[in-house]
Order: sequence, then structure tokens, then C-alpha cells
Amino acid sequence: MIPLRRALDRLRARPGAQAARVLAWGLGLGLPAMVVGAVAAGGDLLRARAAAVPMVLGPPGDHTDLALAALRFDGRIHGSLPAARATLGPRAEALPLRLGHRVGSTPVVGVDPGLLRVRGLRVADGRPFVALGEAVAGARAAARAGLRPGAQVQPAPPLHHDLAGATPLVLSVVGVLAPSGGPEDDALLTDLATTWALDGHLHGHASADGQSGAAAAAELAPGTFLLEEARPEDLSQFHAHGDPAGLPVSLILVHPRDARAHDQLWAELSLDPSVSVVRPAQAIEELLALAADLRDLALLLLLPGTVGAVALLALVERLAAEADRAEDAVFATQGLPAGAVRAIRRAERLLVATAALAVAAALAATGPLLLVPWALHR
Amino acid sequence: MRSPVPAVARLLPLLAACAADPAPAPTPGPPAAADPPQVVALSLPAARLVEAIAPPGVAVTTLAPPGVDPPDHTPSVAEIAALQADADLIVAIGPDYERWVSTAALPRGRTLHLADAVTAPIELPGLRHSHGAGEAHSHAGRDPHVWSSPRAAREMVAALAPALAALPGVDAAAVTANEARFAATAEALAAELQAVAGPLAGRPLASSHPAFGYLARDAGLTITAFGLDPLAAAGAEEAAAVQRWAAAAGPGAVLLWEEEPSAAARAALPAGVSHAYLDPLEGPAPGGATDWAGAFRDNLDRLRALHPPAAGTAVPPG
Repeated sequence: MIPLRRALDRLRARPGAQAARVLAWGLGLGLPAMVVGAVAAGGDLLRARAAAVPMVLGPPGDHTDLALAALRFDGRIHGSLPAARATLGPRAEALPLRLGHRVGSTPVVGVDPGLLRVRGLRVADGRPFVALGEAVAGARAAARAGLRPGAQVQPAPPLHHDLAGATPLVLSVVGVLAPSGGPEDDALLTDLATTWALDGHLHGHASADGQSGAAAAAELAPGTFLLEEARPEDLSQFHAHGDPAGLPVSLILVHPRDARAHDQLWAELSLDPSVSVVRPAQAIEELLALAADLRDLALLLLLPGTVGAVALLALVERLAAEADRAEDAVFATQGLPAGAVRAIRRAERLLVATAALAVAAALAATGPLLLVPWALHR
Repeated sequence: MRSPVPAVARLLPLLAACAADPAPAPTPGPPAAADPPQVVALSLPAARLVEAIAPPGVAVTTLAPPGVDPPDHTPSVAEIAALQADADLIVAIGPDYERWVSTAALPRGRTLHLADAVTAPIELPGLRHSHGAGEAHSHAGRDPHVWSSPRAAREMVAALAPALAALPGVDAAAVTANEARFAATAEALAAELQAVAGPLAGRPLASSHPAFGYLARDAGLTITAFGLDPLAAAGAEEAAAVQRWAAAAGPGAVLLWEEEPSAAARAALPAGVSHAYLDPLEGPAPGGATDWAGAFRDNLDRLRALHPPAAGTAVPPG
């Protein structure tokens, strides 16, 4: 115990220098482990999510973007498909999604209510959405924003300067989903029709003063634009003009009934130039192969730097040991045996190594979590 | 097809995904159907068409309670949530009839709007409106009473059969056979309707409610529709409209009611008009058949009872 106590006393005497030693060793060892761990964990999670979505249909465009959007319920999909494309007959259950709306950083995703049953989602608190203007929050989204049944949220309009583009619509949170491990955890789910209302494709006839639209307009100057804010009592009157089958969806999750239906649909849809069709599992494997290549490259580039840093640290340690010899001589003149001095030095190195390993382990374990906010909100 | 997006940017989701809890991945695909398939019809007309071809072992339930007019019915939140979770197939006539479906969140892949299968829908006039100072326009309003036509019923059942046959646990061959039988029955009833309607071709007919547009078209008849309440006296405007029609129609005019009119309702209308009952096939008729074909045959008998027409003579209700 005495060598350990003496070693601690010595380390405390120079806290700045010792912290630098610990951080230098910890970062040198921990950063490569963090990169490897993050890519591996992310890959495993995306693989698991991809396994739950056999096929994704989207507008013509990049297949990887389409697969990632389907697995994250977020991302950029250029263009849209008409809702009628989600009619695939009895061969498959087709679940259309509408992306692009947000409450703060949380995506508001228009889904078909069948999604809850197909993906085995359970409402842990409250109830599922059943009407226009209602939403359920994913477990992590609810925890992050403090949402509970009864809460109200207002999605940001997609284009702030386009007053005619969408009706300001307050969403009522009616339920919170149990954690699923899927992209639902981080999203607010609502019916497709609600996102169409947010898009401006649906409208009601409410007016600024509560009268019917025609009566209110008669009191206003011709050409006055009425900006509608949807209230719960107005929602039952919301409707679309034109064919609802032509309203836009961002992508469609396709769950074929069996392997034969899967193959038939894949063959048919692959030949259709008006759509992109992708198997997420395949797209993710391609992406992960690319990620592995880049990871290896990054590690290769890091290697000389790491070797150099380790060599430099070793040199510093050696110089420090040389400097300590003068101190050791003082210990000897005070009658401290040489063995005891060596024990103090060993204890000192042990303490620094333990602290450095702890820093490295913490980086490897929590690194992905530290990187996530930046990656999510970019 | 590769995008020019830098590869590093596309790897960010890998890192983002790491934030997730190590919870199990969602289970793909719909749950296994060990129980009998649950088919929920949102109204009685839809239920009758489902029951016409559903083989034994399929549980068919009707959401709208008896005695409630489906256009005015709104199910509870719990009922809609149960539809989302439990129904394997939801069968509606369509949003022009079960109006609540237009704003309710129903699983689209498991919901069938039968009226969409009707190849020649009847557009209803009178729905023009404007938004504020904007130009007036019209909604695509369709006559929802499609089940009153044997030909439309045949088309709807033809669309229903594949959806029903695709349900796990359903005897698809039995559905196909039932659908073929229904098609033959509907064709026979369509032919019989034309035969029954022949002697009525020149007779002025009107209805208290626009529920017989498809029937009239199949029969080759003209039936003028009013909006009359069978349980209350018509308002001055409605009574005047009937008066004008009766005056133009001349003797032999018959007003078809969707239910037996009250004395007050009759008294408010011109004395020269005969009153008769014709089942709109929207609910169980007292003492009538419960299936679609049987209820339609009952209506054929009611139309036969209008032969030969006699001006100013009351026709006994069916």
C-alpha cells in the first residue's frame, strides 16, 4: 500500500502533466477502437432493420438513398410516387410513407396505419392515431421531447415563405409507442392524410372569424388570402380535390406475401422505369462493404500517426524516467531501499496505464453516442 | 445507379444508427393468421355482398349498428383502433356512403372500397361550392347507392372475390365458385328487372330520396329524386317541387318511399300522387329477405305490384 500511496502523491503533485499522459495514451488507443466499434454497431443495426423490410419502392433515383430513407424514416427523397402505386394487390402488403415534415429535429412521418400491425408495433401509452391530425410518438422521440398523450405539436412548414403551400396544423399526440429498435423509435407517426394536409393537398373551409369560408370571404376584400389554421373541429371537414390516388408518397415499404410473390414483384418492378425498387438488405450490404473499405483506409492512414504518437509517448516516458533518477537518488540518501523506489515507479506506471485504458474503453463504448447527434442532425 | 454524393456523407447514417438501443429488430411481415380471418363490413349493403360469396369459416361482422344510417354513423375511437389491429379485410361501399372513412386512419392495403369497382358511376349534381372569393367548383360527388344495381353488384363482388380469396385460411376455390354463382344470379336479376320494368316504362316515377338511381338506370326507367322525410311533413319548397312534378307527370304518378311514409308526410303532398314502398336495401326490411339477392327479389315484387298503374289509386306498401 505504501508504494501505491506514494505514487498517488507524486501524480497529484503534477496533475496537468499526468492528465496529459493519460489522455495521450487513452486517445491513441481509443480512437481506432471507437471508429471500428461505431461502424460495426451501425452496420449491425442497419442490417437488422433491413431484414425487416423485404423491398422498397420509390421514385426513380439513387437506390442507397432510398434504402436509407426507408430504414431511418428520414432523408432526402427527390420526387414522389402517386399513392395509387401502393396498390399491389393480394401479392403484397404495401405500406406507403410520406417524409419531409419535422417537429424540431424529429421527423413527422405519414404512414399507413397497417404499418403498426405489420411491424408488430405496440402502443405503450395512450392509443393509436385514428383520425386526421392525430399522431403517435416513437419511444425515443417521446423521451427526447417529453411527449405524452395529450401533448400538441406543430410541424414546421416546409417552406416558410410559401403561405399557400400548407395549412398550419397542430398535431395531437395520442399515444407513445413501445421501443421497437426500428426507425419508428425516433419519429412521430401520423396518417398519410395528415401529412397531405401538412403538404397543403387537403384543406377545410374554416375562416379567420369562425364563419364558413364563403361567408367570411364575402366580408373581406376580393382577393384577400385566408390563411387557415386547422382546429380539431375543422378536421372532419378536410378534403382533397381531385383523385386521392394521385396524392404523393415518398416511398413504399413492400412486404410480399411469399417468396414467389417477392420474385414476381421484383421482376415486374425492376423493369418499370417510372419507379426505383430496392432490396434494403442488398443495398445495405453494398454500403457496408464501402464502409469497411473506408474504415480500413482510415485505419491505414491512422496507423503511422498512431505509431508515431506511441513512439513519441515512449520517448516522453523514457525522458521522464531519466528525470526521475535524480529524485530516486534523493530517496536513496533518505534511506529508502532501491526495491521500494522501483515499487513506487511501477505503481505510478500502473495507475497511468489504468486511467489511460479507462479513457480508451470509454471512448470505444460511448464514441458512437457522442457522434450520433452530429450525424443525426446534419 | 450511384449518386455523386460523397461516400463519407452516406456513411453518416451508420453512425447515427448506433444511437439506437440494442432492442430486437421489428418482425417482418404480417402476423400469422391462426384464427379465422376477420372481415369487417362497414355497412349492411357491404356486408350483404361479402356474405354472398364468403365461404364458411370466415367471420363477417357489420360495423354500423342496425337502424343507424351509415352516412351519419361515426364509429368510436376504440372501434377504429380495433379495425386497424384486428381486421384482416375491411369492406366499405366507399367514402360517399360511409363518410367517416374519408378522415379516418384505416389500413389502406386491407380496406376495399367496393364502389371503386363500378365502371359507370352516377355523378350527383348540386355539390358546387367555392372557397372564399375563389372560383366555384364541384367535388366529384358520386351516387353511393351502387348496390341497388345488379350489374354494379356483380362488378363489386368481382373486385371483392380476389381480396377475400387471398386471405390466409380462406378456401379460395369456394370464393371463386361463390362469385361465379353470384354473377349468374345478378345477371338473371338484371334481366328480370328489365322485364318487370317494361310495363312501367311510361309511368311517372319519383322517389323520396335519391336511392334508386342505379336501379332506374338498369331498369331503363326515369325516377325523379326528391329529399323528403318519410316521418315528417314536407316543407313548403319541397312540397311545391313535388307539386310541379306531379302536375307535369299527370295521372298515374307514383312516389316511391324508402320507408312507409307517415300520415303527415302524405298529407303535405298532392292528393293525386300514389305512394309506394321500395326497399333501398340499406337495412333489414321488415319481414323481408336478409340476403342481397332475396331483398332484391322482394323489390321486384314491389315493382310488379305497380302493374297496372291506376291514376290516383293508392298502391299498397310492400
